[in-house]
Parts: sequence; C-alpha cells; structure tokens
Amino acid sequence: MAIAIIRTLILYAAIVVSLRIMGKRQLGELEPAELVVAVLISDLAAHPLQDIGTPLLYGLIPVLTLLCCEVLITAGVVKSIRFRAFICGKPNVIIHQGKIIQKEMKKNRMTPDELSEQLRKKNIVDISTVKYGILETDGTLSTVLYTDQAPLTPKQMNLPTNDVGYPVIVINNGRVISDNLQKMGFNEVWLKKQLKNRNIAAPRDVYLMTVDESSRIYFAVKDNCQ
Amino acid sequence: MKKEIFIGCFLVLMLAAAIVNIHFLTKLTDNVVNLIEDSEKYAGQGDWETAEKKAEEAARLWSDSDTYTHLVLRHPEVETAMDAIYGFMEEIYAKEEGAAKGAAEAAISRMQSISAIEQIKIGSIF
Repeated sequence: MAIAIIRTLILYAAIVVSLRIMGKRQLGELEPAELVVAVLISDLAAHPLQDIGTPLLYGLIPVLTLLCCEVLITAGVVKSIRFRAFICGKPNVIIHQGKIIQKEMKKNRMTPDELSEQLRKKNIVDISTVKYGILETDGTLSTVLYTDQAPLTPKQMNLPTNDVGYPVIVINNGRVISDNLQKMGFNEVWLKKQLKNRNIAAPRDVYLMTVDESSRIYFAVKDNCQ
Repeated sequence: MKKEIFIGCFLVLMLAAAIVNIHFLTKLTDNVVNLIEDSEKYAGQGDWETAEKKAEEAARLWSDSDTYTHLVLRHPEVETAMDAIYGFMEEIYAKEEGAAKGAAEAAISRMQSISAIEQIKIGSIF
C-alpha cells in the first residue's frame, strides 16, 4: 500500500512537470494539475474493475492520493502567485498590436496554423484587428480587439435596453420546480392559470416552461400532447 | 483552509496506515516462515508428528488471515502462497524429508517475496 502511495506521488509530480514542459498547446481548457488527475483517475479506477484478482484498495488508494494532491496543489496555487506560476505557468502575449510575437509562438511551440485555427474559432480572420492575443495557462487563446473592431454595445449607441434577467425553469419535463416558482414570486395558482390560458390540462403535458424577471414566459408542450 | 488541513492529515494518515500495514504483513509472513522452519527442523529430527502440527499451524495462520490478505495483496499472490504451504504439508504427511526441505524453501521464498514487495525500497518503488 505504501508503495502505491509513493508511486502515485512520484507519477503525479512527474506528469505535472512533463505537461508544464510540453507547453500550453497540449492542455485544452484544463490546468496541468487538473489534467493529470482527469487522465490518471479514470485509468486507475478501471484496473480493479477489469481484474477481480486485484484488491479494490489498489485502485482506491492511488485515487485518494491523487485527490489529496489535487486539493493541496489547488490550495498552494490559490495562496502563492509563485507556486501558481510554477504549476500552471503564466499567460503569454502572442499577438501584440496586431503583430505576432514569434518568439512567444516558438516558446509555446505553436504554429501559425494553430493560431489561425484558434482565431477562426473566435470568428476573427484578420490578425491585424487583434490588439492583444493572449495564450492562457489552460491553452486557450483570449483576444482583445482594437476598439474600432469591437462589436458595438447598446450603451455606445445610447440605446435603451430592457434587462429581462435570467430565465428560470419552472416546469422541467412535466415536473414543477416549486423552489424556482417561489423564487420568481409566483405560486401554483398562477401556474395553473398560465396553463389554462394555453389550454394545457396539467404540468405533466409541458416539456419546458421558463419565466424571467420581466415575467416573460417560454413555453414548450410535449410532442405527444400537441 | 480547514479542508486543506483535513486533506493533508488524511494523506499523512494514509501513509501511516500503509506503514502499519507493512509491519503487520511482515509480522504475519515472519510467523508463517518461523512455523515452516520449525516444522522442517522437527522433520529433520524425525519428529513427524510435531512437524505436521507446525505445518498445519502455518497453514491455519495464513488461511485465517484470508480477509486481510485479500484486502491488501493481489489475490493470485495469496493463492500461490497457500498452495506453497499445502505443498509443504503434503511432503510432511508423506514423511519425505528431502522433498519436505525443498517444499519448505519454496513456501518460505514465497512468503519472503510477499513481504519484500511491500517494503519501501528503491527497487519496490521503481
């Protein structure tokens, strides 16, 4: 058992360091420490499942050790900026004032194709419109466009807006979510009235019903009740 | 912070439990080995009755720890060790001194390898 714990600690450290060396492009929306846990846990849990001759503890102990590593590393990352930089790396500016910083591209082993792909995913086709392009620690690209390229907002146009708030589900696949109904300041009587107005016999006939802060209702009847 | 302290303590506790497990397993395998060696010694002196008792005691000690051994060791390892002890018992019952010696060595070697694999050594870790 002790061997399992020590091996897990060594492998965890080795994989975190390897992923840091490999660079951000290997990650994909997970920090290195998170990726290690995600990759290892599924495999560790599979072994005792496949082989009934292996005690369950051989799977459980490394999983629990990884859990401890993850919690302790996360605590360290939150507490210390240096430790965070060591474990997660630092964001890198790879586009500055519309120009690609080739040194940073090389450092992160990122090709122009990959950069173009990331930009296309953000509906950006012209690199010169990007003021800053930042490769985040999880491998994703954040972009800041020049102000003359950024989308207009109602505020910039001095247009009045109607803030309707977040729509809350009150009927989910035939089930009334009473908590949400109460949070929005409504009750069962109001709900029955709304259903009656739409010629619906009971909540069980409703697939989805949402209501927002402006009392706007979205309503979807179940296919077999139409 | 309480969560982190709890997790840190839990990790230390797991390591401590693992070290206690090493001592417990070493003690168990040492006891079985001692009984096999005693049995072999009595067999060498021609006291087959005591040799049988000691061999049976060794088998009983290992099989009585069945739940524990199946929890912490790979099941084929537990079964192979049991087979080795039974192999030794057979030779003792057959009163074959030479064969008993060989079977005892096999059983002892199996026990020692089970104990060694759990020891914290560079070789075991890597």
